[in-house]
Amino acid sequence: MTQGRASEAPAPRDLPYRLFGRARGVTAGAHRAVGSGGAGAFLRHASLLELPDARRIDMRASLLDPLGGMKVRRFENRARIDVFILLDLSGSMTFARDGEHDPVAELCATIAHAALRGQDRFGMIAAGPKARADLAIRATRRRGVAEEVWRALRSEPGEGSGVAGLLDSLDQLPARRSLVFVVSDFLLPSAATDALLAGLWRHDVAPIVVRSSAVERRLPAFGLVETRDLETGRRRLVLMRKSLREAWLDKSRRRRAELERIFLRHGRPAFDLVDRFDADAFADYLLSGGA
Amino acid sequence: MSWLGVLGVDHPWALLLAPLAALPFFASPLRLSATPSDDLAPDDPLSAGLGAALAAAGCIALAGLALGLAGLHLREQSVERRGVGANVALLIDRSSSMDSTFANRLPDGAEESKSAAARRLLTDFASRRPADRVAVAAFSTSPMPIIPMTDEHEAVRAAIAAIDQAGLAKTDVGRGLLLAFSMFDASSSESSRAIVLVSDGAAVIDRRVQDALRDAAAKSPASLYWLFLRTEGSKGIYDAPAAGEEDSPFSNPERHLHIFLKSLGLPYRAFEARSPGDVSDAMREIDRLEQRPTLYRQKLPRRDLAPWCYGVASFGLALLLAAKLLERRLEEAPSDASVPEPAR
Repeated sequence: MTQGRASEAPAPRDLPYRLFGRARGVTAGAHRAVGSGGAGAFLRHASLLELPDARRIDMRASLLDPLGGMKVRRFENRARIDVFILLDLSGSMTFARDGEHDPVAELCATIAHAALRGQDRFGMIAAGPKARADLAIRATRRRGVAEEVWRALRSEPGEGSGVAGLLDSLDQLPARRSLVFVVSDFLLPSAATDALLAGLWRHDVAPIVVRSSAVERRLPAFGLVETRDLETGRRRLVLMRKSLREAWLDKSRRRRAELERIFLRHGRPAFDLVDRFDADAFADYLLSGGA
Repeated sequence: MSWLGVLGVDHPWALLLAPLAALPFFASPLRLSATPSDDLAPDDPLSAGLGAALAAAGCIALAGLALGLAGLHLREQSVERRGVGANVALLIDRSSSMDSTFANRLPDGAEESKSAAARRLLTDFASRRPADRVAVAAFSTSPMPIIPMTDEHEAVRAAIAAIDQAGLAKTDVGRGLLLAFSMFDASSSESSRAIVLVSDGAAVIDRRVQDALRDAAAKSPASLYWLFLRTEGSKGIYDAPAAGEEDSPFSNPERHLHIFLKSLGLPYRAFEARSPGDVSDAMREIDRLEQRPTLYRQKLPRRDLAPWCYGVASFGLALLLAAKLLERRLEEAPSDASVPEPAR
C-alpha cells in the first residue's frame, strides 16, 4: 500500500440508511425508536391524567373530545443505532481488489463515515475461516474511524476458505437491534448463507454481494482458460466456447437468483457491488430499501 | 526384465531429467486466471478431459525429450526361430585341381572351373535355405576353418565366394573331415547335422586320422554327403579296379575314401558329378534330404529409438503450443459488457 493510494480514500458522503422497524435505545439519534417522548414527530394523544405534562396540552384535541378529557401530545423517541459491517475476508474476497480500486474498502469506509455523520456508532467484524480480532472495531463514534477502516482494508487481502469465523463472531454483535451490512461474495453453499443470515435474525440485515463482471459477464468467447480458485488453490482448465459460455452465464444468473430468494427470506434484497463502488447507486438502494 | 533388458541408453545421466516429466501434473503452461470460486464455472467433462490431456502431453513431451537425450535404443538381440533346414558344414576342397574345368582344362569363357561352379551352386544352395546354420571350412594341404557355424548368411555367402581363390597343392581329406565334425556346436541338434564335402579327388587317410574320424563320427553323428567333382579321365568312386590292377588306397584313393566313409556308420551318400548340371542335381538332392526342423537364431540389429522419442516429444509440444496459442485470461476479456446484467 502506498501513500498515493491511501490518499485516494473515497469522498465522504452521507448515506440515507434507515433501520427497518424501531430502534431500541435511550441515546438520542436520528432513527425512530420505541417509546414516546417530548420531542420529535407527533405520535399520538394521551390523557393529561395519564401523563401530567401541562406544556404539551393540545387545546384543539381537548375541545373536540366529546368526553371533555384533556389531551396531551406525545412524540416518538428518536435514538441512535449501531451500524455494523460484517465483512467476509475469506480467500475469494481477494479477487479484483488489488487494482486501483478496492470497492470493498471504499464501501466500508463510506459506510463508516456516513454512520458517524448520521450520529450513529460504527463497528466492524471481519472474519474468514478464523475471526480477525485485529480488524474488529467495537461500536464507536471515534473520529477517523473511516480512515482507519480504509487503511486497514486496503492492505488486507482475504485468506483461507469458508466463513466459519464469521459465524463464530456473530455473538460479538450488540444485543440491540442494529443495522448490519453483510459484505461478502456469498460464494458459499446455500446452507451456509442461510445459517449466516439466520444467526442475524435480531438485526436489520442489508446484504452486499461483491461481484466481478470478469467472472460473470465479460467472459472470453473462445479459448483455453485455466482458473485458480483463490480459496483452495485448485486449478481447473476450461475450454471456453459458445455453449459453455452460455452455461456459465446461466449458472451465475441462477446463483444470483437463488441468493436473492435467501435474502428475501431473511429481510432485505441485496446490493450488488459490481467491479467498483458507486456511492449514488448505493444511496438509491438504501433509499428504496432495495426494491 | 525381459523387455527392459532389450532397451538400452547411451547417456544414462540424461535419465536424471526423466522425473521432470511429473512436472506438468503440478504446474501448468498456461497463465492462471484467479477466480473467487471453482463453482463459478459449470461442470464440463470436455474441459476436464482436455486438462488431463494437456498434463499428459506435457508429461510425454518431457519424458520423450529426456529419453531422446539419453539415446534410447533397442539393443542388438537374437531371436530364436524354428525353421526347416539343417546345420550344414560345407567342406570344400581347395586343391589346385579345383581351378580347372571338369574337362581338366584351364577355364575359358565357355566352361567354368570346378571351383567356380561349386561356388555358384553352393551360394544358391545357401540362399535357398534361410533356416540353415552353415559353417564353411576348406582343406588342401591342411584344413582351414573359414567361418564357424553361424546364422549370418551374408558371412556365409562371403566365405563361399572366397573359395575360388587360387588353390593350393595337396588334398588332406581326413583332417578336413575332422575339422568339419568339430564345427558342430552344442546348439545344433544331432538329427539335423550334415557335412557336405565338395572335392575333386581324394587322398590316403592316415590310419590315426581314420581312428580319430571314427571317434568323431561316434561323438557327433551327422549325415555325410560327398559331392565328388569327377574330372574327365580320372577314376570314379564306384570303379572297381580291373582285374590284376592293384586295389589300394594309394592307387584308388577315391574308391577307398568312399568305402571308408560308408564304414563310419553314418547316413552317407556320395554324388558323382561330371558337369555343373550334375552338381546342381546333387545339390537339389541334398536340399531335399536335409529338411528337418531346426532351431536357429536370427540377429536383430540395434534400433535407435531416439527419433521416435523426439517425435513423441514434438507431438506433445505441438499440443502444448496449440493450447498456449488458445490461452485466454478472464481479466483480459473485452470490457464492453455485451451481456446484460444478470436479472435479479
